Amino acid sequence: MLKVTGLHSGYGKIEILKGVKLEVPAGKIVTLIGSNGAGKTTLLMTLSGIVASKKGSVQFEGYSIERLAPDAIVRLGITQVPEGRRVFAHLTVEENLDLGAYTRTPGKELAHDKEEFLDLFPALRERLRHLAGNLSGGEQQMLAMARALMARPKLLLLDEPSLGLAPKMVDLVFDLIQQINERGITLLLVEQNALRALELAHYAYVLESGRIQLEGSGSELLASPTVIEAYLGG
Amino acid sequence: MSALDIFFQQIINGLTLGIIYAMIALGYTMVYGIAQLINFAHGEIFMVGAYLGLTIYLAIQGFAFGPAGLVILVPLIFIFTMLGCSALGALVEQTAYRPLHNAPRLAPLITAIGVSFLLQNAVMLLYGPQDKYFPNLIPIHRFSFGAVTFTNLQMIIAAAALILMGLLNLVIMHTRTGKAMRALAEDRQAAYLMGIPVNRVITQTFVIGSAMAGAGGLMFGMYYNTINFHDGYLAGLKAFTAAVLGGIGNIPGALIGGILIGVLEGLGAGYLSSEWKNVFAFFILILILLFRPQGLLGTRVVKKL
Repeated sequence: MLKVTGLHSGYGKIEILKGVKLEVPAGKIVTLIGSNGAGKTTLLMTLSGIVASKKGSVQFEGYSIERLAPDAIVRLGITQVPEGRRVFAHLTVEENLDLGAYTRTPGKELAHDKEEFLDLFPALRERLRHLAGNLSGGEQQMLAMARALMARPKLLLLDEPSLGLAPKMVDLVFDLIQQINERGITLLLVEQNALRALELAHYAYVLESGRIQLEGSGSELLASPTVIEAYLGG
Repeated sequence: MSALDIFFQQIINGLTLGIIYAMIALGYTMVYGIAQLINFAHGEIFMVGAYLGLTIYLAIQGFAFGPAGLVILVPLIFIFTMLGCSALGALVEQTAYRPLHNAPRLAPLITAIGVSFLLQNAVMLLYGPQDKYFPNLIPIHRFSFGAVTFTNLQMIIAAAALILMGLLNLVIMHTRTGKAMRALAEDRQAAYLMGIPVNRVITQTFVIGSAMAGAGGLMFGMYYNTINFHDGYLAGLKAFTAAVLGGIGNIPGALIGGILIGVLEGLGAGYLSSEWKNVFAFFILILILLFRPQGLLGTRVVKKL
């Protein structure tokens, strides 16, 4: 579904990604782990078209998308839940959800999806008229995920969804990721909680200093001595 | 005239002027809030609105018969003036600002000044450098309460402004575009990630802000009966002051700031001397920048200017 080859990108003259190669097959959960500054967020931002790629190709369902504008990429079916949730704090929960569906035509199908996602995230239903900024961190994460789903993505990019959440919320977020995948949505997951993310993953990559250092199935990486030492606390 | 009469009279005059400033300030504040850009050519759009209104009036005045005709004529002039100014605003955005999207912040500020000169000189060439007479679009009636008078024109200006601001509020709070604008003002990158076409929403912001300024220009012409190609400069600066006073990026702030500047100017002109009236606005600007740079309603200090 998504095929990245030889991808270089960065900010100004600073190159962060130095030839990334990875694949995300349809219907799977692919996890990307790596230490701080390895380039995980830069990779997701490049895939979303926010950071311009300098070299290499990004193929999505056969289309080259590395030169497309961010809104065109959303229209093709890739949506991102950015790190730090980035909900629109001064807008209501409902307005945030509506903006998630910005690329779609309003109608029955959209209203139906909204109901469906509110069932998936019941905490949001009670707070539709609240300002998003007044939600707890966990609720904001739910909102950020529901908002991204409103675009009906084929591929969902998740950047550190469990960061800064209470343990109970972390469980819920991983449970939701599983459920989203069971609905047929492909996921590329970036996580610092390597253990949980690898347990969930069909396939996984380790990104270090802008390059893929290691790859394999989730269980293979969980058993890898390098991964155990560097990301699972020895 | 007693001191109290002067006070009320100047409040009424100041309110009218303040409403016109507010019409301009709205565009300043919206463009800043959404595109993070100070559009210093905005005052010129206001000035063009006055000339465009006059031109449209002269072109269609022959079709109006009696008071009933006026009820259609005046709104029509407003609508066409606003449409024309919207188109001009979009053109300015696309040609002067869009290509500088990734340029340092000073660059669009300089092109804005260039666009200002261009528009001023274009109007001067087309209409001449001397003051232009702006005829009364409607017969003026005066209402007197003791020594205090106000006119039906002042009421019409206030009513038109109220309607337009109500519509603006409707657009911003309840339409898809309005939601996108608010999202963009808050977090441009996150707005992009939602698939919002950021460039298009920025153009829409210019279109709406320019329509408001154009209507303001028309009100200005109707109120003062003379217009000049220089008028946008001072009015634009005062409206900018109003936007900063209210808290730049804050829409209700622009309204309050505009009215405050207008009223203070009116009072200053009434009690001191009308020659000093321009000093007040800029004195206020200095005071705000010194003591409350985030403005009256602003919560955050302006990060970049």
